[in-house]
Amino acid sequence: MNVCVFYSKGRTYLDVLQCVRKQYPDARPCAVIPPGYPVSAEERSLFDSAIQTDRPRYTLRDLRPLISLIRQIRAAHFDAFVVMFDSPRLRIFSALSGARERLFCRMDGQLVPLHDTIPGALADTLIRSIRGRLTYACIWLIVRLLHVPSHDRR
Amino acid sequence: MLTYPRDATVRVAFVDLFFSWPPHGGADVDLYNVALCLHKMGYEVHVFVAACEDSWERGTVDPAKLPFPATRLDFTPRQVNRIEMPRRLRAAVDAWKPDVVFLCDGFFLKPYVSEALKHYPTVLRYYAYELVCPRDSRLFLNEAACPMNYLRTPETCRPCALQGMADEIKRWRFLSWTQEYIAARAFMPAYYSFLIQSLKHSRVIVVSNPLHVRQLEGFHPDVRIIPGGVNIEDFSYSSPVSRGANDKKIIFMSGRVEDPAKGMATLREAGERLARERTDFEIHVTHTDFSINNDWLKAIGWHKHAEIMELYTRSDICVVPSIWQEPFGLVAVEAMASGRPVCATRVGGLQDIVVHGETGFLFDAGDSAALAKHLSVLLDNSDLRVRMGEAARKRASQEYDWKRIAARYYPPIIEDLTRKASLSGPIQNPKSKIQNPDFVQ
Repeated sequence: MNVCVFYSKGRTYLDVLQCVRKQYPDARPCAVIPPGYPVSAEERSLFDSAIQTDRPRYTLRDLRPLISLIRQIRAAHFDAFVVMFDSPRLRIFSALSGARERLFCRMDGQLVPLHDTIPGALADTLIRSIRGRLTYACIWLIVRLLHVPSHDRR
Repeated sequence: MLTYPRDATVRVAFVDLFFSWPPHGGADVDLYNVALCLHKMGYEVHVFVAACEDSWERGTVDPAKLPFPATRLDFTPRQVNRIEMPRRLRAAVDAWKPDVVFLCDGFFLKPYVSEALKHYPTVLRYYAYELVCPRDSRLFLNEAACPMNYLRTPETCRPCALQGMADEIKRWRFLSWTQEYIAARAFMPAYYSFLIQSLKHSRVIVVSNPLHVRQLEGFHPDVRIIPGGVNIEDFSYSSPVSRGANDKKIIFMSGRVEDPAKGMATLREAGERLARERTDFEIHVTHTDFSINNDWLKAIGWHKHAEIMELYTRSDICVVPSIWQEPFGLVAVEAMASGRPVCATRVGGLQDIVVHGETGFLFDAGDSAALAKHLSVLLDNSDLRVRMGEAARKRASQEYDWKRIAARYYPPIIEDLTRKASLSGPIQNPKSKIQNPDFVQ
């Protein structure tokens, strides 16, 4: 079984590699790591191969290198694609990976399926954005118009 | 003077809205060690933890695996609100009937929980600047320490707080700080009054440094400082690795170094100054942008805590160049416990931890020239590094070992509160404490 473990900053990669090894003892994990990532001996023992990305992080300005990375990942025909966080970006990215199984590693070490399709992830982002902006507007009005009574202040 | 039966114990409840183990931060480490030490000292301890399955930050813990009794209360995301959470925590605490309650980590919902538990003698523990900075509890704005104080300047701080959380609210995808801001309706003017009231209900407020005490002046009569700590036996002390005159010495900066408040820019500038004159050093930082690497600066990524302890022993000097008012400065204590000299900024709790010229050097926040000078002195003198490292280890062991901290600071608070409670009326469990005298050597 080919498992891709996609690095994101914000927590220790070793934890995620260990979770993958635990859940898929016979897998051949492939690490996707940023340039210059200092792989420790312990991490090295937990994956079989590695893909080094062109840049430390991708934005919409890096569309071409991003597409190239997605192609590279799709060409590897991974059976499972594991990400370190559950976010709309990583949901979309994992959906684009072409892997049958898409998972994210929770902080408690459990690998949890990511069910979203690309339209599903986009719709979720849109709905959240509308709800969030409306809430923000209401709070903004409250903060600007309603003040702490002066007799309450010290 | 009151006397208590010697065969009874005081029941101490710890209530925490975030506790996770393995820890997610210093507050978890603090609660774990204090609860464990008091438990070993003979107090009857129970930790009540709020958990939410959708939030990795809140209550990721298995109570059965803790070395002291604990109860985890599971909440759905909808139940994380100002009514349900205090109600259920109160019911759980009432069923256990403590003598004293320590209300530990929590953000905007903490005043509501405090209100729900006001029939107990309550101690409010603040780990960062949650009370005075509703933006992000850091008192750090525009890359500098912020002089404001929500308790005194609510109308300046309310818009600032909203601005700080704007991105998360607009995306409707937030971490616990913003989640509690919404759930507690902390944007409403009434929240301020409620917060002030909740402070009055508590008997003692515990903070980590003198700056925080000054900020609370006039809001509570009994604000005490209790530092954080380390388990000194977890840090193996070894003399710095002996290196040849031309070998590179390692200067190490640990922690969330990507956060501008942590002052890595100062260390980088100091490195640039040093690199113009010498090549016998390397700066290792726990940074995850590996493109910053050059001849003398190495990003080594994030590591588990056990690995960080190993990294301290492989280093020669540790630097904590924070430019915000660090509430405590655990990284400095950890480095000292590993026997390494520490160069730290003269801010917050750090200035009390490092003894200038004895266990390391202090310098003003952002002063890279001063840092470069101190680093140069330490790089040139291996005897000084060893001497300061040993003094640092000794200080960490004498002042910041959890056992000593728990024994020195907590029994007086518990005794005060139980005595006052019994004087003011019948307490639910008329008890006394049994301290295990062998616990603290």
